[in-house]
Amino acid sequence: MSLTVDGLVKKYGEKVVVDHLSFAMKEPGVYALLGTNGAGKTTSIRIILGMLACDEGTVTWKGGRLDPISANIGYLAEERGLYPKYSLLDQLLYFAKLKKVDKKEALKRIHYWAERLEVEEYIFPPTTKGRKNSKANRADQLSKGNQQKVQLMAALLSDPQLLVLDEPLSGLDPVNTDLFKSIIREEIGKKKYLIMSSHQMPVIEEFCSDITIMNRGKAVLSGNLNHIKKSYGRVNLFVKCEGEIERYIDQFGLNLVNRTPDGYHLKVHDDSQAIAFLARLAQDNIMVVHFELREPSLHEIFVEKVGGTHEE
Amino acid sequence: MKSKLSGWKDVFCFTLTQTLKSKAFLVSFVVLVVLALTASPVMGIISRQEENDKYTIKKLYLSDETGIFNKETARTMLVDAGWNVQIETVDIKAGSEQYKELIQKIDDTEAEAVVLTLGYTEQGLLSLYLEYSSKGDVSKTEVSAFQQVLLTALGEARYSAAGLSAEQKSILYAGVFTNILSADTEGNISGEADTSISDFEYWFLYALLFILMMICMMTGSQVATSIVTEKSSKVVEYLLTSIRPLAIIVGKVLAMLCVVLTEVVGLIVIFAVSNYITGQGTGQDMMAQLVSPKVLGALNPLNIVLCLVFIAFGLVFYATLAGLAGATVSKIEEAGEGLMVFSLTLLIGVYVGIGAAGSLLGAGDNPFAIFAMLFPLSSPFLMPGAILIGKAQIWIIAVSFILLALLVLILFAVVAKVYEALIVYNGNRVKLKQLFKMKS
Repeated sequence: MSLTVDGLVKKYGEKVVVDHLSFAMKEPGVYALLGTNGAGKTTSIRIILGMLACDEGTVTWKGGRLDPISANIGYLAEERGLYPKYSLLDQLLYFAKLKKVDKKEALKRIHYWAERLEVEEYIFPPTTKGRKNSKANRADQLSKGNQQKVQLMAALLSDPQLLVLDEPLSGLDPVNTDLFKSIIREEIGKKKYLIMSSHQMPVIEEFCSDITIMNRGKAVLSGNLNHIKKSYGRVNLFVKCEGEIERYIDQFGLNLVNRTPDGYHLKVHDDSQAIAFLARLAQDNIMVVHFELREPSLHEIFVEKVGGTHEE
Repeated sequence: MKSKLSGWKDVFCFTLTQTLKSKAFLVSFVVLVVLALTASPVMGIISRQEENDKYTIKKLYLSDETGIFNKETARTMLVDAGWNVQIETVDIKAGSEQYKELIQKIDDTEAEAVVLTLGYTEQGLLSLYLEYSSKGDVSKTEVSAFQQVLLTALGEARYSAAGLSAEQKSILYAGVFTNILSADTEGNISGEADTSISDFEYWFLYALLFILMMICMMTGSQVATSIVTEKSSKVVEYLLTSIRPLAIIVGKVLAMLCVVLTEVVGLIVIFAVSNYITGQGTGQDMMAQLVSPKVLGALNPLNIVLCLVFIAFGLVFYATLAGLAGATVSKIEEAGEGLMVFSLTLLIGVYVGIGAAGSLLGAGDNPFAIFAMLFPLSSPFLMPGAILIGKAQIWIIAVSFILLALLVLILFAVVAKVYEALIVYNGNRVKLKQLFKMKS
């Protein structure tokens, strides 16, 4: 079982918004689609979900062409959507019915997720003297975060094998961010296929094994995140010492990226240069408080790949 | 097509339930039910009140100098017209002292009496004077109506005084049928019977046309608003992972159709029951007073089904058009702008229908009226009325239905092509030119 996106092209008139995008998920896990605003991530997701027709390319799932209607796909859109005036329970039951989940099972799942996401009081509002508050269970009465939780419930109700999360954590407070993260971890644990789009690089690094960075509709970098990082090598050196070390930095010809109260962020050519630098500091009895040599972060790779070239 | 429509039933059920549960629907439906329930009894009460108000004259003093007036004939005619009056003959001349005393007496004690003086003018013309008290409940309008009956009685009296037999009188009273015939150069005579509709039939067509227009307009705006709401709230993005766009619009249109037809049929049944109960209680049939016997006679199952079919297809056409118009905009604030094409099409249909009703009143059967009955934009408004007043022949019904069904199918084919692109479209309103580009 796998998902393969092969050569997707989408044009609006002369403008190419997705230009031969290809990637594959051979095993369950999380695949990240990254890019600046307008890079073509949401358009690509819409094509994968069958909302938009593409000009070229195919999307295959389990060896056959992906039919989003018959395949069980969960989707959390970037721009959250719920009927503002209808009862939340009615909406969730409707969404479940569209996904062919029978009412009894849907109710069971709604109870489970409502409890898990701590929104029971909104979906099953308490009655006062046997009467429901007619407005208590409507989407327009909920905070943005709670609406997002209900939206995530809708995406998970059918227990989808393929889950597409477009900016799942944007706008959430730290407590709810952790709650969402734990649910994403659970879904990964259930061997699901997840496609995630986010601007929060630490989140991508936390969950995703494979990535594609898009810029102006094109994939500018694609592959396994660890391999990509390794290919850059350990060139980032973070050093904090008691005393000035600028003279040593100049001597070794290191590139100073940034200096903060926490120390120096330097670029080295390779591991041996960093070790030689450390040895020299030790030899001159300079107290090294922090010494960290690591690969570039995803944030740095992202900025390097699309910085200064994306459309504002 | 089947897979494109898969899931429409779920949309239908959800839209139907949510519409029926919505406060706006419940409030408007309760108001309409109350109106339907109370209309008949209230009209009965008003009508009875009017009857009571209309027939306040209880006594007639008759001074007949002509000697030809028949008191009993006049009384019979007055009773038939609703005045149960007592007629007292007096032998006094208009303007005399006795006459003045009689008028004074009416003013003081008999406000419900009138004085009728029949005589001749100096020129030898018959004169009919009526005098009534300004202090009582007798109104000028009532006296005018009363005078009309007396004039008829006087006419009858004149024919009798002239010695005409009942047969001769019936010849004089008979109406005149007119027909204009034309002859060509070879002497062949051709002519057409008067096929124009009555004032009552015209107003019936007009009223039905406006009611249907209102229904189409409300249904259309509801479908459009619902689609724009789904687009602007982004719910549609979630829906599209489970269902095709065409199934969404089909489910919505059919749900609204179901709501409206149930509402209309329900209200008619409630009104009929209320009318029956009122009729049993008061002996008055308000339906018979509101609707002509010709229309009531045409209310057979076949005609009712035909009318409902035209209404249903009309609703489907206009609601789908409104849905398409709704999909061309992305924000609820722009819904009005998007509905412009829908409103324009609806108005063309309505005005053609009104024109046809007017032409039927003035000129009877005519090519424009036939065109309006066949024209798919106006036929949903005009045909139900035309069927009920007997103006739609079988071939017109058949051709009109075929054309309307064809138009609905064409519209669905267009919707199937452009709706998928429209429903996820965000941005400025899609213009007609762009829509045609999408279609091609």
